[in-house]
Amino acid sequence: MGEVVLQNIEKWYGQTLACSDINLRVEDGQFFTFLGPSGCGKTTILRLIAGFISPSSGAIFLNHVNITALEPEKRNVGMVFQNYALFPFMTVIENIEYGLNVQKRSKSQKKEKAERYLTMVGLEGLESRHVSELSGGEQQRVAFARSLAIEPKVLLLDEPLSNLDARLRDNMRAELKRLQTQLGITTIFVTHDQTEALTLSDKLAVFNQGRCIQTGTPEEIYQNPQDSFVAQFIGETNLLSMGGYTAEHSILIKKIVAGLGDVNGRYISIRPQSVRVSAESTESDYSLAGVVENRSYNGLTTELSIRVDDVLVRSVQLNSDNGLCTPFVGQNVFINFSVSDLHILAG
Amino acid sequence: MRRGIQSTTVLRYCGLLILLLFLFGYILFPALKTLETSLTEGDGFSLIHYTDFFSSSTSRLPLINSVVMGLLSVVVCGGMGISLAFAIHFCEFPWRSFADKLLLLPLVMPGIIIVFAFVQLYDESGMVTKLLQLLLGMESPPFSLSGLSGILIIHAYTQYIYFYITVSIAIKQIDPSAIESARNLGASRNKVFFSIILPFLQPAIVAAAAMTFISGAGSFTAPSIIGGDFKVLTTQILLSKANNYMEIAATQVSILTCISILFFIVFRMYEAKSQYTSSVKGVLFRPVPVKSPYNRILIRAVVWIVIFSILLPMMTIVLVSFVPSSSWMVNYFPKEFTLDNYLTIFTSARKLQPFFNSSVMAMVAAGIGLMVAIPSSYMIVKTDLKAKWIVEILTMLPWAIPASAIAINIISAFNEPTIFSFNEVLVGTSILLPLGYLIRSLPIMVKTLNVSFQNLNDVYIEASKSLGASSFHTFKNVALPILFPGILAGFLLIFIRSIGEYTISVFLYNASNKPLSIAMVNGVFEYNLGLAMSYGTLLIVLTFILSVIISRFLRMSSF
Repeated sequence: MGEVVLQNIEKWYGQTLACSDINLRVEDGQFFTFLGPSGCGKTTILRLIAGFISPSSGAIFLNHVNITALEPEKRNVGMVFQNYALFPFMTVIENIEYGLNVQKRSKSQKKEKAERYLTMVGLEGLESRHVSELSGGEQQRVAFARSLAIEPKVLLLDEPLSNLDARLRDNMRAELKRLQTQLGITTIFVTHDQTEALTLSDKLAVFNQGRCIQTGTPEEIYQNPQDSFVAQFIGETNLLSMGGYTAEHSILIKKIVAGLGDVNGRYISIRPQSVRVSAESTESDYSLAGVVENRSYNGLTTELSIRVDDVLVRSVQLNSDNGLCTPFVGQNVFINFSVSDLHILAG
Repeated sequence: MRRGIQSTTVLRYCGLLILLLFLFGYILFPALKTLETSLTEGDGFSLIHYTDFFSSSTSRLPLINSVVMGLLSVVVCGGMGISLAFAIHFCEFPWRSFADKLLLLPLVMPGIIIVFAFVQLYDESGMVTKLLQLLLGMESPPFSLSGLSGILIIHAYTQYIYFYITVSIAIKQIDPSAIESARNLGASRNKVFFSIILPFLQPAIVAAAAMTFISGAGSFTAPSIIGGDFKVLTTQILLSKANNYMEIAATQVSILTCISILFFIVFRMYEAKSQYTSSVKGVLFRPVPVKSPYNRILIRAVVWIVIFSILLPMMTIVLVSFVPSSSWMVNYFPKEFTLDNYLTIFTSARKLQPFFNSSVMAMVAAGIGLMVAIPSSYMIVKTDLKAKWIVEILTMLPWAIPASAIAINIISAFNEPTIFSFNEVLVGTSILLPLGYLIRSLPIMVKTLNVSFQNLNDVYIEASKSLGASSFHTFKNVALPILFPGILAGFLLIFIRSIGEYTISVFLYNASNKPLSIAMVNGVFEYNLGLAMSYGTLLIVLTFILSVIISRFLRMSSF
């Protein structure tokens, strides 16, 4: 299996900087996700690891060996492409055996491995089908089996779930996690979907504008976002600008900051689920009066928008919560949260 | 890796250099030599040939006739091609696929065969003309296939295909949701047609119009055989060359080429400006039903009459090939049939020789054409080399040069030793004719291969490499299977276009490589009609078989 280290990676396309200052370590057997919006450079980094493009500067190590200048075919890094890239003129089995043919495996080895991975992805019986005769989900399973069959040190996944419909995507997500856990293969997964990133990853890196903003476990990143971008990109949040405090724009910010003492930062982030709503004032660190402006029932949860002074604060409450306050629009309520629910963000 | 990149880069630039040398040496250099000849008098620069040309009404008339012929061809072929494309692809039409294939037949039929077939049917003593004359009890033939009107009828038959193909493709790419949203916003059928459908089709129509104009204004076969007193520039070019007035021929070629290139550039500019892409992917346009039963019957009847009139000339060729040549001296309609014409071809080495010559030369042109077209297409589609626009322009240039001009360019360039002729005089040798075929067909070959290279998605190459395959293994097992059908289709297409080619042949053939088209014309003028039509039938059979193979391979290449 493999450990991947990216050291001071920078990549320019002509005059355009695709990514810079990338320093990452993906540990052996880890499921590591590159998360970020479109055009943030995450696929570029994946292609750098695969060897399809070369970095403008920096180095890439696989199991402590510098592979920066190594041809892609010599890296033993498998890749599943966004559109699967199955060879259209080959059958399912021919696609899976392609890498094994390259490795010059014996007939029996090829048969044994192809069958093993075909079974693993649940496609027994479809060996002789042409790939054009398969559904999107089946094509994706073939792409996984083809990449896994060469037993790569690292598996790279370039948004492989993005072309599937919602239900199939949920199923494949679980399948993917099962396969990765079963094989223990180091996996680098690229996505812009935060739910995928949070549910699948052992560790993830959040990218924006070609830079890695934060790395950590899903819990670390969700609970302690390093800046306003991460706080907004990962989950929902109430992001309050502290710039309003000095300009005396926000009465709410004044009230919050007054309770914090001496703080340095530009934003305060409070997750909607940390904002509890009550009909009466409570003993929380903060219990502030407001008026419900909007109410949205979502089955499992109810989302409220509450005007507190001059700011609209969002609150999400579990409908199964026994102490639930279900106010109507226009009702006067209190929002309650503690100091530990607040995240002071530098930028 | 660094060394690898350097060697790949060096190889790439060496390849580019060789390719540019070929394209310059055999496409641009000959055209420039013709221009130079037209601008030379004695030993110095002179505009005398141009002033002579434009000051003489006798010289200007063929130019005006050529432009008129080009413009009228656009009108006639446009009307026919667009109507047929709408009938087959816009409206619901039973047996659409079959009718579509039949309507594509003129694309692969050699022009010379079509002209002779029309002569057999519609000339003064043609079978249809005589049949009508007898039925109507007329003393003289009701019509005659000659002059501008005759040429336009043949152009309508051979060149409507430009409009038919491009407009058919454009109709299939119409975004149905755009039509539905226009209807939803209250637009009438007419409003939808003029405000939505027509803008979608406009680039295709303009592109087809330019191609038809170039082809029509540069037409040689029909004007030379049935033109009569209607003189056009291409026939005058042959006359000038036959009388060895090469400066005059060069001037006529340069003027014709300039007009064609002007249209070509205008078309490219328009095409670049007005490309529409649908906002919705994967939603196919579905032909609309024709509600009125009268219109439905009318449309179907017209299309099947056109299809019959397309098949009729070919059936005529086959029929006449079984008729003894001597019987035409006494009969308007065939009364006796024989296999003698075919036996003559297959038992006489001298009679079979033109078939053999054309096959070999078409094969050579297609083979070398591939060697030029594959790297050209690769560079145009798959690289970001700065010089690729030069490759694209040079490979597409012959599209804008009429066939007769290509032939004169070749003669101008290689009637003296140059580095491109390896210091030999090539005029009079057998090498020039396949070279002419190659240059004439290069644009269509490059276009065909461009599609194949576009199908070769880079992601397949990357997938193969990520599975550990070397560049060679990737090329052999991934790239080649995807490219091969397109390559073979391109090869066969050039073969078909070359084996029955007439215009370039008439300028460049010699006694040792007399091609099939010249043998056919000679057969007709020597009153050996049966033999000429037997050659024609063999060509029809061959092109039909190859066309079926091409369509199979093109279907395969689109996976």
